[in-house]
Amino acid sequence: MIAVHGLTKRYGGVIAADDVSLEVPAGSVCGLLGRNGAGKTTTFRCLLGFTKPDAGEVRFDGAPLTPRTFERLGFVPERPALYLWLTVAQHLEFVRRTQPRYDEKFAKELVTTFRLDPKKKAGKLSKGQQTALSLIVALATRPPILILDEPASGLDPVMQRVVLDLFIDAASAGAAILLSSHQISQIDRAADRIAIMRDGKIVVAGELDDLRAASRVVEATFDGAVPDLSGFAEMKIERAGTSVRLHANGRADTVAAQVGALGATSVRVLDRSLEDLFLDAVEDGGIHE
Amino acid sequence: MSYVETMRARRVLFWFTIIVAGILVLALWGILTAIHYAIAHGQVHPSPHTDTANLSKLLGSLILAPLLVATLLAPSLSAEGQTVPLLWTRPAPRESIAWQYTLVDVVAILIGYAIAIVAAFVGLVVVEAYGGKQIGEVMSPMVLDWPQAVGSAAIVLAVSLMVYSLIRIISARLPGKGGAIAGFTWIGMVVLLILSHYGLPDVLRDLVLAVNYLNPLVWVTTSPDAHLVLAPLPESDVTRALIAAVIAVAELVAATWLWATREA
Repeated sequence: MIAVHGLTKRYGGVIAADDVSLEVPAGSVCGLLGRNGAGKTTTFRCLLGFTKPDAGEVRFDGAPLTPRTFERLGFVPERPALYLWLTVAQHLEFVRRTQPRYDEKFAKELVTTFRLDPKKKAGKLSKGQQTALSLIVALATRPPILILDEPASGLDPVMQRVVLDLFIDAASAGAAILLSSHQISQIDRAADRIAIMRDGKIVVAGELDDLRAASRVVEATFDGAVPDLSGFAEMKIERAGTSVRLHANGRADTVAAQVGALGATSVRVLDRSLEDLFLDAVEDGGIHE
Repeated sequence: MSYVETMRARRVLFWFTIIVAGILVLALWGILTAIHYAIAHGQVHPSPHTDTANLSKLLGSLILAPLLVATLLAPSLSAEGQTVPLLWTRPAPRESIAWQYTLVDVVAILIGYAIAIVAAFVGLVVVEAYGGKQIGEVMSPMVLDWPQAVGSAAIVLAVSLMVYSLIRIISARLPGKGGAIAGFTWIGMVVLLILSHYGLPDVLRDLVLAVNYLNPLVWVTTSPDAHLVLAPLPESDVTRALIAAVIAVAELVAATWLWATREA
């Protein structure tokens, strides 16, 4: 389990992470979303001890971060951190020598899956292949905790799917995974919970199904003019001709019945997409413009 | 943990050996050609040996070899700027990683020195063997002055360690800049030596002379004419080597702390 409580990090007058709290239980994939500069990478750096937080606490399976934590923790950075002058095989040898949990058979399987040439130097690999090698280095120990910062960037769509399946398999086997990505479809596919960051703060967090259920939209179409909807003033209403969309959140069924009673010709309750949730959460940043 | 540094040191030593071999071949080619020319033109005039060839002088004269290896390997931790996410997520304390790197590098410096010594002896043997056949004894027999030789080797290695630790401490908090720092460190060392000879204002001169205690080049030799530091250094090579080594180790301890506690 990954547990973060009240994590705060300032750089001069800028608060890069502001009282960040989140939990990723074992067997779960948590997608960390946010615009560029929202504080995701700072949060990761604090989690991994690369930078010291000004306040807050980070625990992995109930214990604070120590060097031994990295026996059970795999990390994939946003930009592959590889020795460009070492070959793929030498990177695996490096992991074998430094990680007691190294699974050689699994590592070789991954090399085959990603179609990497073991004799090729990392500097001669394409960006996608470097990302793949970075993933192999992190996954070769089958770590029960994974922290992944844009782990599939540069991979082709087929490999992206393979990678996401690997994460889902790892979570099914009990791993706690914290995954950051700008590709919402990846989070949507792999994550069962999300946390959305804006200006260093977590503004939305929870299980994806619960968040979706709590943010449903009622779409109603009227035959002619839309009647007075002042009874729904507390919720966001979008109008388009004779149709309206009411952001009913947790009251979707009740609102649908009330709108139906106003004479709507059709009423539908829609689950909101993760993209909608994300855009709503960060809309103060002007993403709708 | 030392795997990567071992690979790096191996790479440095490979190219170092190529360079040494190249220099050896060029030197032998020049010397043997000169001997051949002298014989062909009847210019051989055997003369009694006036100079003595000491082992200590030979060992001291090879100082550039370990200095070069030390300079090439010292930026290794700084070079880990881009790879910190890989290196710092190993299950080992950062200080331990840094000391393992240092240990590998020190062994590589010793190997580099040994390669240079072997190359020098190979050169001498070849010159003596070829030249000896042609014109009799070419060189004076080498005097094996062991006590002085040990002191000479000690000062060479201590000064190399000082250069290594100086570059390491300056580059500890400057990831990716180690190569440039290594170059500028050499410039700085030479400039400090030059400044100590100039008539600077008293305070500035004292400052330069004080800083020069950290300048590895000052510790290479003692010269009664050169007032490079505030107080004379010990005459004995072994004593000087010990003090230089202590300074180097202190710098390494500080460099390791700086590197291990920096933010990435």
